[in-house]
Amino acid sequence: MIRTIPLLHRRIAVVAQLGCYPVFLLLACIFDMSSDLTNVLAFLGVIASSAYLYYKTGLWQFGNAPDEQVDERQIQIRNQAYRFAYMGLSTLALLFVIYLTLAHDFRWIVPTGNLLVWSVITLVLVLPSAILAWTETDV
Amino acid sequence: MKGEKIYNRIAVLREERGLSRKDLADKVGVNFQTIGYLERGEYNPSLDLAMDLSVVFGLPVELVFSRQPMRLLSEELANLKNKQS
Repeated sequence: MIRTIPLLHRRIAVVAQLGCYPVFLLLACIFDMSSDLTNVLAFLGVIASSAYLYYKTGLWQFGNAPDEQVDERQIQIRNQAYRFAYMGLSTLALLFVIYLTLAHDFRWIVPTGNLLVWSVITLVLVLPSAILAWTETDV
Repeated sequence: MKGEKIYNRIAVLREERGLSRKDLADKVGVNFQTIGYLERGEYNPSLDLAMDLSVVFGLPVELVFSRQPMRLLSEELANLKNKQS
Protein backbone atom coordinates (compact mmCIF):
# COMPACT_ATOMS: atom_id res chain seq x y z
CA MET A 1 0.00 0.00 0.00
CA ILE A 2 1.28 3.45 -0.94
CA ARG A 3 1.04 6.31 1.55
CA THR A 4 0.39 9.77 0.13
CA ILE A 5 1.53 13.02 1.75
CA PRO A 6 0.29 16.50 0.73
CA LEU A 7 2.90 18.62 -1.05
CA LEU A 8 3.08 21.24 1.72
CA HIS A 9 3.73 18.60 4.42
CA ARG A 10 6.37 16.99 2.22
CA ARG A 11 8.14 20.32 1.75
CA ILE A 12 8.09 21.01 5.50
CA ALA A 13 9.59 17.55 6.10
CA VAL A 14 12.30 18.22 3.47
CA VAL A 15 13.24 21.50 5.18
CA ALA A 16 13.39 19.70 8.54
CA GLN A 17 15.42 16.83 7.09
CA LEU A 18 18.01 19.02 5.38
CA GLY A 19 17.97 21.77 7.99
CA CYS A 20 18.34 19.83 11.25
CA TYR A 21 22.11 19.33 11.27
CA PRO A 22 23.04 22.79 9.87
CA VAL A 23 20.69 24.55 12.35
CA PHE A 24 22.04 22.62 15.33
CA LEU A 25 25.57 23.16 14.03
CA LEU A 26 24.88 26.91 13.98
CA LEU A 27 23.30 26.82 17.46
CA ALA A 28 26.24 24.83 18.81
CA CYS A 29 28.67 27.39 17.35
CA ILE A 30 26.77 30.50 18.52
CA PHE A 31 25.56 29.41 21.97
CA ASP A 32 28.36 27.01 22.75
CA MET A 33 25.87 24.19 23.39
CA SER A 34 26.90 20.69 24.41
CA SER A 35 27.80 18.73 21.27
CA ASP A 36 26.22 15.54 22.68
CA LEU A 37 22.85 17.25 23.05
CA THR A 38 22.91 18.93 19.64
CA ASN A 39 24.06 15.69 18.00
CA VAL A 40 21.19 13.71 19.50
CA LEU A 41 18.56 16.36 18.73
CA ALA A 42 19.71 16.77 15.13
CA PHE A 43 19.86 12.98 14.63
CA LEU A 44 16.32 12.55 15.97
CA GLY A 45 15.09 15.36 13.72
CA VAL A 46 16.61 13.79 10.61
CA ILE A 47 15.34 10.31 11.47
CA ALA A 48 11.80 11.53 12.19
CA SER A 49 11.52 13.65 9.04
CA SER A 50 13.07 10.91 6.87
CA ALA A 51 10.70 8.27 8.25
CA TYR A 52 7.74 10.59 7.61
CA LEU A 53 8.91 11.31 4.05
CA TYR A 54 9.99 7.88 2.91
CA TYR A 55 7.99 5.27 4.83
CA LYS A 56 5.75 3.59 2.23
CA THR A 57 5.65 6.64 -0.06
CA GLY A 58 7.91 5.18 -2.76
CA LEU A 59 9.97 8.38 -2.78
CA TRP A 60 13.16 6.73 -1.60
CA GLN A 61 12.81 4.02 -4.25
CA PHE A 62 12.03 6.68 -6.85
CA GLY A 63 15.30 8.43 -6.02
CA ASN A 64 17.54 5.40 -5.62
CA ALA A 65 16.19 2.28 -7.35
CA PRO A 66 17.89 0.90 -10.49
CA ASP A 67 16.50 2.19 -13.80
CA GLU A 68 14.70 -1.13 -14.47
CA GLN A 69 12.44 -0.52 -11.47
CA VAL A 70 11.22 2.93 -12.50
CA ASP A 71 9.43 4.06 -15.65
CA GLU A 72 10.54 6.47 -18.38
CA ARG A 73 8.99 9.59 -16.79
CA GLN A 74 10.51 8.74 -13.41
CA ILE A 75 13.95 8.26 -14.99
CA GLN A 76 13.63 11.65 -16.69
CA ILE A 77 12.54 13.43 -13.48
CA ARG A 78 15.20 11.62 -11.46
CA ASN A 79 17.93 12.68 -13.89
CA GLN A 80 16.82 16.29 -13.39
CA ALA A 81 16.87 15.79 -9.61
CA TYR A 82 20.43 14.39 -9.76
CA ARG A 83 21.52 17.36 -11.88
CA PHE A 84 20.01 19.82 -9.36
CA ALA A 85 21.57 17.87 -6.48
CA TYR A 86 24.99 18.03 -8.14
CA MET A 87 24.63 21.75 -8.81
CA GLY A 88 23.42 22.35 -5.24
CA LEU A 89 26.25 20.39 -3.64
CA SER A 90 28.88 22.04 -5.87
CA THR A 91 27.54 25.50 -4.99
CA LEU A 92 27.48 24.70 -1.26
CA ALA A 93 31.02 23.28 -1.38
CA LEU A 94 32.25 26.37 -3.21
CA LEU A 95 30.52 28.73 -0.76
CA PHE A 96 31.94 26.78 2.18
CA VAL A 97 35.49 27.01 0.79
CA ILE A 98 35.05 30.77 0.26
CA TYR A 99 33.69 31.10 3.82
CA LEU A 100 36.65 29.14 5.22
CA THR A 101 39.10 31.38 3.36
CA LEU A 102 37.41 34.54 4.65
CA ALA A 103 36.88 33.11 8.15
CA HIS A 104 40.61 32.70 8.54
CA ASP A 105 41.26 36.37 7.62
CA PHE A 106 38.31 37.88 9.54
CA ARG A 107 38.46 35.50 12.52
CA TRP A 108 34.89 34.21 11.97
CA ILE A 109 33.62 31.04 13.65
CA VAL A 110 34.72 27.90 11.75
CA PRO A 111 32.29 24.97 12.13
CA THR A 112 33.99 21.66 12.84
CA GLY A 113 33.27 18.26 14.41
CA ASN A 114 30.55 15.64 14.19
CA LEU A 115 27.71 17.98 13.28
CA LEU A 116 29.54 19.25 10.20
CA VAL A 117 30.38 15.72 9.08
CA TRP A 118 26.78 14.54 9.58
CA SER A 119 25.40 17.63 7.82
CA VAL A 120 27.43 16.72 4.75
CA ILE A 121 26.58 12.99 4.97
CA THR A 122 22.84 13.71 5.28
CA LEU A 123 22.94 16.15 2.39
CA VAL A 124 24.81 13.76 0.09
CA LEU A 125 22.59 10.78 0.96
CA VAL A 126 19.15 12.34 0.77
CA LEU A 127 19.42 15.29 -1.61
CA PRO A 128 18.12 13.62 -4.82
CA SER A 129 15.15 12.03 -3.00
CA ALA A 130 14.53 15.27 -1.10
CA ILE A 131 14.40 17.20 -4.40
CA LEU A 132 11.88 14.68 -5.74
CA ALA A 133 9.80 14.98 -2.55
CA TRP A 134 9.86 18.76 -2.99
CA THR A 135 8.98 18.85 -6.70
CA GLU A 136 6.65 15.89 -7.42
CA THR A 137 3.05 17.04 -7.32
CA ASP A 138 1.48 13.59 -7.47
CA VAL A 139 2.92 11.40 -4.70
CA MET B 1 14.72 19.31 -23.53
CA LYS B 2 11.12 20.45 -23.41
CA GLY B 3 9.12 19.57 -26.55
CA GLU B 4 5.88 20.92 -27.92
CA LYS B 5 2.73 19.92 -26.00
CA ILE B 6 1.11 16.66 -27.08
CA TYR B 7 -2.63 16.34 -26.46
CA ASN B 8 -4.23 12.97 -25.77
CA ARG B 9 -7.50 11.17 -25.10
CA ILE B 10 -6.15 8.76 -22.52
CA ALA B 11 -8.54 9.81 -19.73
CA VAL B 12 -11.67 9.43 -21.92
CA LEU B 13 -10.57 6.13 -23.45
CA ARG B 14 -9.57 4.71 -20.07
CA GLU B 15 -12.92 5.66 -18.51
CA GLU B 16 -14.77 4.27 -21.51
CA ARG B 17 -13.07 0.91 -21.07
CA GLY B 18 -13.67 0.88 -17.31
CA LEU B 19 -9.96 0.82 -16.46
CA SER B 20 -8.44 2.42 -13.39
CA ARG B 21 -5.14 4.30 -13.71
CA LYS B 22 -3.47 1.37 -11.99
CA ASP B 23 -4.96 -1.14 -14.48
CA LEU B 24 -3.81 0.88 -17.46
CA ALA B 25 -0.39 1.47 -15.89
CA ASP B 26 0.05 -2.29 -15.36
CA LYS B 27 -0.89 -2.99 -18.98
CA VAL B 28 1.75 -0.63 -20.37
CA GLY B 29 4.37 -1.18 -17.65
CA VAL B 30 4.57 2.26 -16.04
CA ASN B 31 3.83 3.69 -12.61
CA PHE B 32 0.15 4.65 -12.09
CA GLN B 33 1.20 8.22 -11.29
CA THR B 34 2.68 8.50 -14.78
CA ILE B 35 -0.80 7.85 -16.23
CA GLY B 36 -2.06 10.81 -14.18
CA TYR B 37 0.71 13.04 -15.54
CA LEU B 38 -0.09 11.87 -19.10
CA GLU B 39 -3.81 12.52 -18.70
CA ARG B 40 -3.20 16.04 -17.42
CA GLY B 41 -0.81 16.70 -20.32
CA GLU B 42 2.08 17.30 -17.91
CA TYR B 43 4.25 14.65 -19.54
CA ASN B 44 4.85 13.77 -23.20
CA PRO B 45 5.30 10.00 -23.61
CA SER B 46 8.07 8.33 -25.59
CA LEU B 47 7.08 6.83 -28.95
CA ASP B 48 7.35 3.39 -27.35
CA LEU B 49 4.86 4.24 -24.57
CA ALA B 50 2.53 6.03 -27.00
CA MET B 51 2.43 2.90 -29.22
CA ASP B 52 1.80 0.64 -26.21
CA LEU B 53 -1.11 2.83 -25.08
CA SER B 54 -2.58 2.83 -28.60
CA VAL B 55 -2.38 -0.97 -28.68
CA VAL B 56 -4.18 -1.23 -25.32
CA PHE B 57 -6.98 1.01 -26.60
CA GLY B 58 -7.02 -0.75 -29.98
CA LEU B 59 -6.81 2.54 -31.88
CA PRO B 60 -4.32 4.12 -34.28
CA VAL B 61 -1.80 6.28 -32.46
CA GLU B 62 -3.07 9.47 -34.15
CA LEU B 63 -6.51 8.96 -32.57
CA VAL B 64 -4.98 8.82 -29.10
CA PHE B 65 -2.31 11.54 -29.43
CA SER B 66 -2.22 14.79 -31.37
CA ARG B 67 -0.26 18.03 -31.67
CA GLN B 68 -3.58 19.90 -31.87
CA PRO B 69 -6.23 20.02 -29.13
CA MET B 70 -8.39 16.91 -29.41
CA ARG B 71 -11.73 16.97 -31.26
CA LEU B 72 -14.61 14.62 -30.43
CA LEU B 73 -13.75 11.01 -31.23
CA SER B 74 -16.94 10.67 -33.31
CA GLU B 75 -15.84 13.60 -35.54
CA GLU B 76 -12.40 12.10 -35.88
CA LEU B 77 -13.80 8.67 -36.89
CA ALA B 78 -16.17 10.29 -39.42
CA ASN B 79 -13.20 12.12 -40.95
CA LEU B 80 -11.26 8.88 -41.19
CA LYS B 81 -14.19 7.14 -42.92
CA ASN B 82 -14.53 10.04 -45.38
CA LYS B 83 -10.84 9.82 -46.20
CA GLN B 84 -11.07 6.07 -46.79
CA SER B 85 -14.16 6.27 -49.08
